Amino acid sequence: MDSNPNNGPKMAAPIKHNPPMTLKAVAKHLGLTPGTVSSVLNNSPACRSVPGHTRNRIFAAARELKYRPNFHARALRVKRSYTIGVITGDIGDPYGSLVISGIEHYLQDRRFFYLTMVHRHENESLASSSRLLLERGVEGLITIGTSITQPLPLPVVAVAGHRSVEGVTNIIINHRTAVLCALQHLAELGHREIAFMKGPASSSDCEERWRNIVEVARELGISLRPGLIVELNRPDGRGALTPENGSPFAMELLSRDLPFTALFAYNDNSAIAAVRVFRDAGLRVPEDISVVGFDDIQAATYTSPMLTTVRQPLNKMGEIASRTILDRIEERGEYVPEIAIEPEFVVRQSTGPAPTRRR
Amino acid sequence: MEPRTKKVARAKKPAATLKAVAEFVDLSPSTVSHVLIDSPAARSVPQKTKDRILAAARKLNYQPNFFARSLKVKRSHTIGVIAVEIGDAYSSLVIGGIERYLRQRDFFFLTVAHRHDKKLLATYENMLQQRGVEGFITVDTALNGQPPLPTVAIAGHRRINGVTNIVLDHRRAAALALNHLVELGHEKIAFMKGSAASSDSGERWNAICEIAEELGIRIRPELILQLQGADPTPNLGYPFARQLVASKEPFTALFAYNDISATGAIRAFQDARLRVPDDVSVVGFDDIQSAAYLSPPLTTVRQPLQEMGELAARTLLDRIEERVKYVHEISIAPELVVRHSTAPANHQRAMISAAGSVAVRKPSDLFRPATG
Repeated sequence: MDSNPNNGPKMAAPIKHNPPMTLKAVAKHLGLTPGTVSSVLNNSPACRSVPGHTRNRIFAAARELKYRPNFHARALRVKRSYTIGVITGDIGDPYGSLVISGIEHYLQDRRFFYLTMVHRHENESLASSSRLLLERGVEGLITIGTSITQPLPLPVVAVAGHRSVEGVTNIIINHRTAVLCALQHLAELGHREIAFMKGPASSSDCEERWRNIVEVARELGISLRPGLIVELNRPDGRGALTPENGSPFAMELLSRDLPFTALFAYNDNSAIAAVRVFRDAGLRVPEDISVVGFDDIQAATYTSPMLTTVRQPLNKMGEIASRTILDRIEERGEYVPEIAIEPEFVVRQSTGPAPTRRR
Repeated sequence: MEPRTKKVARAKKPAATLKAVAEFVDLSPSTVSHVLIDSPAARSVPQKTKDRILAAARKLNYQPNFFARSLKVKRSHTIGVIAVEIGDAYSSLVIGGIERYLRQRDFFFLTVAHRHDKKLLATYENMLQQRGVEGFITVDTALNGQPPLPTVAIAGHRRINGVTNIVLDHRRAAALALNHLVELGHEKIAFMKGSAASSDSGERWNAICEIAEELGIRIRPELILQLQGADPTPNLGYPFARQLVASKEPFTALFAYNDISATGAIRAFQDARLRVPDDVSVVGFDDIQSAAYLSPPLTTVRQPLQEMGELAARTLLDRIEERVKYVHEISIAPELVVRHSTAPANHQRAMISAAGSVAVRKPSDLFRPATG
C-alpha cells in the first residue's frame, strides 16, 4: 500500500496542491487499458466481464493514487450536471433556511448538489440569479418566496410562488385552512376587534393570504377596520419580515388608539416583535392582547409567552420541492402545476379569552 | 420555434451553439460571445446590436456551456461550504454572509450539511472536490487532517497546514462577560461547558478559566454544567439548567455556552419560579436574531456571524487567486450586548424554596423540534 510513485513528497509544500490524477495514469499503474478502468470505476455495463479481483485491484489503485473522475469532463460528455439551483429571499432568515435545510436533506443521498443564490425580494436580482444558474448548467430550479415570470427550459418548482407560469410547480400551503383556523380560534375566544398585519407586497404569500383573510372574516362576521390594519412596507419599498423591522408597525398600531384585543401577525417574526412592543407598553399578552403568528419558526417557542401560530411545515416543503424537481428531471413524475400543503394550527400561550374591559 | 412538449424532455433539448447564434445574427462568434458574457469588450458594441444578439440567443435557446468553459480554463468559480446544519440561526447567518460576498466576486457555492456524521463529512469532501470546487469553507466543523484544497474554517481551532482559521477572540469574549458579571457583584457564577460536538468548546472553556483566574473568580466544579449532544434547539441547555436548580447549589448568575442554551436555561429557571434577572442573571453567546426578543431580552457576547461569513469568503477567494499570503488565523473581536437578562447579584435569593418545586412541563414538549 505504500507504493505511491505519483504523489510526491507529502509535507513539502503545504499550500501547493497536487494536479489531479488522471484515468490514464491509473491504467498505466495497473497495466490495464483506460477503457477497462473507466468501465469499472463508472460501473458501466461493460465492466461485468471484468473479474472480481481485477475490479478490486482497480478500486484499490484508484484510492491509493487518489484518482477522482473529472466531474466537468463527465458532465460535458453525458450532458448532465446533477446540480439544481436554489434561489431564496435570504439565507439568514428562519423561513428560507428551514426550507433549504429540507432541500439539502432530500438531496443528500441522491447524487445531486445545489447552488444557492439570494434574490432579496428584488426582481432584477431574481432574473440575474436564474440566468447565472442556467449558465452553470443546473438541471432544475427551486425558487423560495417568489416565482419566475417567464417559462424556462427546465423544471422549476416555486415554494410559495403564487404565480401561474408554464412549467412551474407551485408548492403552497392552503391559506384558506390557515386563516380559518386562526380566525376561528380568535372568534371562539371572544375576540371581535382584531388587528391585522398585512405582508409586504414583495412577499409572494401576501396577496393570497390577505384575500383569504377578507373572505374568511366576512364568513365569520368579523369586520376588518382600516384603522386596525398595518402593511409591513418600509419606506425603501422592501419587506419588513425581521423582528427588528416589524417593531415600528406594532408601535403604529398602538399609536392609532383604536381598541383591539387580538393581533393576527403576518409571520412569527412580526408577531415576536409585536409581543415585545405590547409588553414594553405595559400590556400583557395574552391577558390584554392575544397574538397569533404564522410559520412556526424555531424562535416561536423561545419567547415567553410562546407563540400560538399557524405552522407551515417548512422543512417538509423543502423536501417536497426537491423531490418534485428530481422526479421531473429524471422523468419519473408528471408535471403538476400545484402541490397544496395543509398547515397545522399550534395553540401555545400567546392567545387567551378576550378581556371584558377593552383597552 | 419548434413546438414545446410539456414533458421534461425539453430540458435535454440540444441548446444552440454560439456559432449558430452568430450565424443567425450574421456577426462574428467573438462579438456574440462578448455580448453574451457581458465582457468589457462588449462596451464598444452598440446597444441595438446587443439587443439583437440577446433576442437571438433567447429565441434559439442558447446557453453558454459552463462545463466546456471550465474545462478549458480549469476554473470552476465555485467553492464548497461544509456546515453541520443549515437551518439553525448560527449557520444560516454565516452562510448568508458567505453568499453576500461571493456574489460580488461572481463565485458560486455548493452547500453540504454533515450533521456530525464523520463518514458523510469525508464523502462530501471528496464529492465536492470531484465537482471541481476551488476551495472549502467549513462552519463549526472539525477537519481530519490537511484538506486537498485551500480552506477557511469558521470556528476552526486546530492548526492545520493550508487552513485559515477564523476565530473569535475567546479571551476577550470571556473577559467582557465575566467583567460585566463581577461589576454587578456576582461571585457564585455557574458555567456551561460546550459539548464536544461544538468546535468552539475547548477554546472557550480555556479562555474562561484563564480570565476567571485573572479576575479572582473561583470556578466551582459543582456549578459547571457539561453540555452533551448537538441539539440545535434550547433543549441543548434546558435539562442541565434544571439539574443545576435541582442540585440546590446556590448561584446568582449563569454564563451560558450560547444563546440557544441560554434560552433553554432561562426557561428552566422560570419553570422553577426563579426570576431572570432578579434571582439569576444569564449571559448568552452569539447574539442570534431571537436573542433580543426573549423575555427578558438576552445580554450576550455578540459574534458578528454574517461578517465572519463575508470575511471567510474574502479570505478564501484571495487565496485561490493568490492575492494574499496564507495566514493560520484571523481573529475577530466580540462585543458585549447588554440587555435585560443581567442585573446586580441577589445574594439573599432563597434557593431552597425554588429548587425542585414545580415541574411545570415535560422538557420534550417545550421547544419546537429542529425539523418538521
